[in-house]
Amino acid sequence: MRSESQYKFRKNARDFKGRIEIMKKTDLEKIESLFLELYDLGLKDYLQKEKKRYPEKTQKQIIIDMYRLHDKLRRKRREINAEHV
Amino acid sequence: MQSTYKQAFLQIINFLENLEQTDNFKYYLVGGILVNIYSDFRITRDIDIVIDLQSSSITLEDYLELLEKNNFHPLQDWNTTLILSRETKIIQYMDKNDLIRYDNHLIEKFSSNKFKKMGPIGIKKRVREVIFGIECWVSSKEDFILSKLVYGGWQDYTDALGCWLRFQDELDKVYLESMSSELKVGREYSLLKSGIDDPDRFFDIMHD
Repeated sequence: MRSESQYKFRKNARDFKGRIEIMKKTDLEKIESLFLELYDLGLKDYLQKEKKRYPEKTQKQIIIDMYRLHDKLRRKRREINAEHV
Repeated sequence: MQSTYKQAFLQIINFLENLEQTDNFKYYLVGGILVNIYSDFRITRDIDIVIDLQSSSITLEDYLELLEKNNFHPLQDWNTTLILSRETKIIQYMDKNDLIRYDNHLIEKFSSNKFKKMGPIGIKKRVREVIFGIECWVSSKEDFILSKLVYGGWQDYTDALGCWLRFQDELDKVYLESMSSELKVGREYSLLKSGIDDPDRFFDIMHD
């Protein structure tokens, strides 16, 4: 269990309830447009950085490795959650 | 120029909608993309879809052949994709630009695995939504919440809580009550109903 002050700090910093209130008032089209914009920016940036680090890798291989890492992190998170139970 | 994610999304939805017209084939979207329409804003990398091949006349081999014909690409090669999907019950492949990965979760009707139980449940209550300008089948809000409670990680509880806070007035609570008990997530559902609004507290109460 976290301490009460940790709960308060994290709750205020995240403002989950406030975020959900904003989501309630935001049109789906705006959410979709922001999603696509951020997705493309993130992907472009990632590809540029990886291409610099591993010039011999093809773009497809960079993408496959990105998903592998993503899966690994997700598995790790699930294992940590399971340890809590 | 059209976004890479949107291109990949339209490619797969057009393909699946065409398949729906034949062979008793059914699908619905799950995963990160739905978090945006049902819960909080989040960027997701892949596109998760549940597909029901068992009820259709399409075999796994046929399905992979159709994917190839429709310009989807394998991660390595289609034979490896076939072997892996038989083992894992998930078909993973890429869009025509090799940028977005699709995960197709195969429905297993009589599985006792609690994670696999959601597949056939979700297909009965799937709903039509317009996402990125195209109409498609998606998991219902109620099944979205139930699947998140079944998975039970911090992010899953956060997603379920967000959906509850956003749509609690329109959710089918009778359905949620009975299914949460059937899926053995009654305690999680009770906590959701309790008025809790902090993901940390939700996670800690469930896991301590």
